[in-house]
Amino acid sequence: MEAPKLKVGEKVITYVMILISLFILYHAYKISGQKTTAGSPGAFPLMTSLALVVFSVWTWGENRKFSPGLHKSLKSRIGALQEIGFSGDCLLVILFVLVYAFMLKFLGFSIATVIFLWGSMCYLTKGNWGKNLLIALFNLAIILLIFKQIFKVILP
Amino acid sequence: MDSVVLNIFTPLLNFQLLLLVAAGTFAGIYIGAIPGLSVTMAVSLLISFTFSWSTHEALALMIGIYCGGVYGGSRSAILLNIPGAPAAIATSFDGYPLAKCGEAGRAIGVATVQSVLGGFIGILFLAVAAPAVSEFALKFAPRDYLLLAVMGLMLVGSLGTKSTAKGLFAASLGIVLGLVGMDTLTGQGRFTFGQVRLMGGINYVTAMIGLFGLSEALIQVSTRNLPIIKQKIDRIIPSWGTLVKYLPLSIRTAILGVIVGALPGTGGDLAALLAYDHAKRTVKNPSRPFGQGAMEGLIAPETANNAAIGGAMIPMLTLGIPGDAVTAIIIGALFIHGLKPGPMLMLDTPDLFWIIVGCLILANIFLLVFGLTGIRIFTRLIEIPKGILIPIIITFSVIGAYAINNNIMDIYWMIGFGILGYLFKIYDYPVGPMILGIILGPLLDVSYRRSILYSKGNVLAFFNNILTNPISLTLLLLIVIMAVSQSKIFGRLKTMGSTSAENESDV
Repeated sequence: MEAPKLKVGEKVITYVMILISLFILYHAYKISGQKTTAGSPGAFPLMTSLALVVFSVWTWGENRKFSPGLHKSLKSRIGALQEIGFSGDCLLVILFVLVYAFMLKFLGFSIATVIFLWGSMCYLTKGNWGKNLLIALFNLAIILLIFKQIFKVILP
Repeated sequence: MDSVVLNIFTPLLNFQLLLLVAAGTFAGIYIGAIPGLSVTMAVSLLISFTFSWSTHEALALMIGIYCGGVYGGSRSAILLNIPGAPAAIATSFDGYPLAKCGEAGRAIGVATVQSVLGGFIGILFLAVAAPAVSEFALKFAPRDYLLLAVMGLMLVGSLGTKSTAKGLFAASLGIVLGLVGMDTLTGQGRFTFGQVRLMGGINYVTAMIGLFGLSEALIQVSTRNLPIIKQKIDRIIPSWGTLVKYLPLSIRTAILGVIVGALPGTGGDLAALLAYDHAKRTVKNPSRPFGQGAMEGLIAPETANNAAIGGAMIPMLTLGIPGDAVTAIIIGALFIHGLKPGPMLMLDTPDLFWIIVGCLILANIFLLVFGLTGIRIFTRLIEIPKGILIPIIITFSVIGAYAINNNIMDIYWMIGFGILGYLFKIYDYPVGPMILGIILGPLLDVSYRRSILYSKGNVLAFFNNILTNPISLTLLLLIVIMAVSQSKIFGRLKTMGSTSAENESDV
């Protein structure tokens, strides 16, 4: 029976995790350096980051049981990435969120939120722009009522 | 005794608390029911929103959402075969087949009543066991807290995850993130990379909102166009005969749920799965074959996951160690309100404990009322397109992240954790252990350093103290047993043992 396949990109992620673990281990050692003893501030971080390295290498070892996916072309890799949830839509939504966070400082909460809600809803639903604007405005009103009036939260 | 009774009835007699528990339970049911929203996300958002409230009010709302949410996941599990909450995964095994047979109403009714029954059994254990555990916990030394926290992280990292290695990696990464900032004993910066901004550490609420809220919204982007299946609902309230017939199973699985919930790091999702497994092994003549609409397959997980709520509160309140992800967040809420969960909480503020018990009782009563009604509203609600819901969840996450410290940087941190959580979910790294690691990291560090100080810096003396103290030795043995039982060698021995037993019975 053929071994189950690795998800596309999983090998890369595992190597990245190993590198991150080694980076953390190096910085954990730097906390107390050569003066590391059992009770020094660097002792526990050092032990934990060592465990992190061990577990990341263990994950790499587990992945060796899986057969690598056969994605020879870029198109098939992109297709496989989309299948596991890495769609262009997700990446675009992440960009929308970053822009929203940036806009908060310059446009204020209300305007930035309406733009974000309306823009994302239009993109995700491919729906009616007018209807989505009304929904965005309605949601803003609810948010202002619930968070500002009831929860007394300071909005961005 | 009088003060205990008075405190238990406080949420009932205080209109504001009563309203908050009711609102929380109602909201929790629908948050738990809608796939894409989670109780953990809602409670983590609430921490920042209820910052200026009194402790009792904040807890009343969170407890209501907790109880409602754990149950609420069963609705979409039954109607759509999409568990709204992880605790409802096992519910879908037989709940959805029941719905396909036209018995969705009956399934929802039974799930509601069983959840309430499980909830009350959990509360009973909490009320009886917690004061006793709290007394016992005063004998715990720092090394025992260290071992308990390690056990909790091992449990959550290894059980209920596809890969033990990934679970433990996530837990360790969480611990490292929890250590970022100024060392509380020496004032030295750790993992701060010379940045003053990091000396205050990473705010775990921001991490939680990102890991649970934003990441889930991003995952839902890919599945937003899946069609919604419409359901017919009738005959909701179960008969008395049905309840009595399944009472022994309900009680057994409720007790199992309490025990699993009480283990640090485990919660309703694991309790439900173990209870389903127990029902399959012990029920000889189910109403239908398991997996095809067996009523026992619905009753067991639903009773266990709500009983686990009471169980999870036991270590949270008595030891300061979370029983699951939600209680981890509630611990955060207690810290923010100036309280320190642990044995001293029970001694210094016993009224708080009994008010929590009162809120739980009230939440279960409201669960019965709201659970058996409003099902038609629910079917409308789950038909909201995800393309509308996802941006709203993201907006709530942004507000929640900002509201902690009124700092725009927290929003960027939240986005960073959201992207990390998104990657983790795609590649099957669990996020639960990571958030538990962030919360338990400082406790582990301080407990370890205190234990070493107690042993005058001598590592051998440290281990000697563990081996010669009965509590420490028991905890260490439990950790060793857990580690061995997860190993391949043990798995092979178990398989060999069951194979030879089968061969002997054939002969």
